[in-house]
Amino acid sequence: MFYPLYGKNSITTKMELYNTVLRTGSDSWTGSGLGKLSVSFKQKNNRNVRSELVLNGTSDPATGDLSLFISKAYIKFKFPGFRAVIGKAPFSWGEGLVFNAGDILFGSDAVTTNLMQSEFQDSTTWMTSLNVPLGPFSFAEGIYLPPNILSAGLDASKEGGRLVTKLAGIKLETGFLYDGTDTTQKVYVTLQGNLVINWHFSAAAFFPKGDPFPNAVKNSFVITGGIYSINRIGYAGTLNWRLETMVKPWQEWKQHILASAGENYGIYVYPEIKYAFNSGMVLLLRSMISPIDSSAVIIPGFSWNVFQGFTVITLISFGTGSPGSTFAWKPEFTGKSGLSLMAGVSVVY
Amino acid sequence: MYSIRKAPVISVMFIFLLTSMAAALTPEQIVRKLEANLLYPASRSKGTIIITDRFGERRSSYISYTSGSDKSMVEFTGKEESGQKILRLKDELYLYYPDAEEVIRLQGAALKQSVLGSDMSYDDMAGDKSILDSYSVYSEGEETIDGTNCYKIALKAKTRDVAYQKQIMWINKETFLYVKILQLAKSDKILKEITVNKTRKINSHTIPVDMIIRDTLKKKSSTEFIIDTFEINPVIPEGTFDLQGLCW
Repeated sequence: MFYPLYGKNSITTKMELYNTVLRTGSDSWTGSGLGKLSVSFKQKNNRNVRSELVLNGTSDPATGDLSLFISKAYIKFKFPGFRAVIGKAPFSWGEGLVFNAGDILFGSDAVTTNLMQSEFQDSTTWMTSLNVPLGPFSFAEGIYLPPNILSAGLDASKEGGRLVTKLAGIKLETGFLYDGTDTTQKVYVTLQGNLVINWHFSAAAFFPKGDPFPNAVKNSFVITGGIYSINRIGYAGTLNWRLETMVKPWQEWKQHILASAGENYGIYVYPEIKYAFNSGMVLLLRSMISPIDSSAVIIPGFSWNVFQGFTVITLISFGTGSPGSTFAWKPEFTGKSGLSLMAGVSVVY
Repeated sequence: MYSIRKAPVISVMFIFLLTSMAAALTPEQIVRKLEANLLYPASRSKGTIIITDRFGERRSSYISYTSGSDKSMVEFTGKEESGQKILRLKDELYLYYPDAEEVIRLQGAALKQSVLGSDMSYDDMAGDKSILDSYSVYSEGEETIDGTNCYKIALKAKTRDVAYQKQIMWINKETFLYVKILQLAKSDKILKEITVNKTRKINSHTIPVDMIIRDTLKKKSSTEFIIDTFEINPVIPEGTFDLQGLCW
């Protein structure tokens, strides 16, 4: 069969501009303008080859200068029996919006996730992957992530694979990754299904070389899970909600005064509720809760797609805990804010 | 003589009556014919959705594939949602977001969410589900809408699990496509009005290719669906309705 060799190019530019006001430390306030730019060049219409180049830029709040970097630069192609991706592309193993134990590369279990951003999972990495379909909803994938040539030798590469299939209506995903940078074997399993509501569950453990087995599991074992739903409400709106949690059974489960910003407890919960009116308006409420020290960061927000490609966004973030807690109203650590307001606009064209 | 002359007249009248009775369709039959007209073995269409409100116009475009009564795939082609896909299988919904190469699998209530921001849900879209499953239908006679002779059919919800408790449809007597639909709340307040502006005959089906939905509770608010191209039984690329096709 003859397939056309030409490709159609499309260029999409997205600009997000915000003004931010935040309280740093106990009582000092600061503010800045923030800008994000993304330019995407896509080649489509060739049945067997796709490619995309995305240049992202962020403004430096101090100087206003724009720093550009390559967010995506990949070519994917398919032959009968397999398909491949080479370049800098999204890595999306496992399930979960904020907590995803299946993401054994980036470790998407960070309590420090910036909940003020529009997308949580946009991490990309340089890779070569080979994907073999095993059925309509099953495939096996092998992946090779080259080392950073400036900072590491060839033995610092990462190699792995995963198997995705569906058994009795439940999606089953399992995989492993050998991380040469710290000679660690990483394994995970993810299940996803529906029992009245949609749910997902993931578990992962890391096995560093030289670390005795029980100790390695204790240090790294993480479980994430979530439930989520999309419901039409009335005749004019859609209600999305999700609840995710991350549990590290062998981490700290007793409340204490945190000594550093990076210190975490054994359990966190992420609830999110979003109501979309059909007029393009969205009201949202998301939070990160630390049940052990009874603190939370709460983020109410509003967005409105007023004109074609033009959206107004406002988000407020505030902590509720006491000083020394994970999400304090007046945090003691630099780099953390107990209260911030962000208002801005985004344009896509 | 009288009886001999009268007999054929009575016979003709009787036959005419019988024929008329046979030709008079029940509201259920009319609705089934409407649904048969809108059900295809497979289709491919390209369309545009224009949402108008007091701030102006927003456009979105898409390519849609359907196969049988329980498979459909919609790919958005506009700038803002470029590459986002929705795959609907019998009892599952897959959402694909290309920026993160993320696939979200949904089942259950998610199938009741609206397709392309319209009033149609994924459940409604599946050909194995009939209007008659959700609504009791009644004939309200016949009316002429813009010069088109129509059956006027009233729909009353059997359950609370539908967006509208009542609907009134004017269905073209020749093509069995709706010409106008009113969607009402339980209190009989009109919530939305759907008008078919343009149709196209493809094979034996009459397709609505320009349709406007007006929200009667909002001033200057409407959603227009325009089908630019529509093919019945096209060659659908292999893998369109599986995970590999979704992520390609």
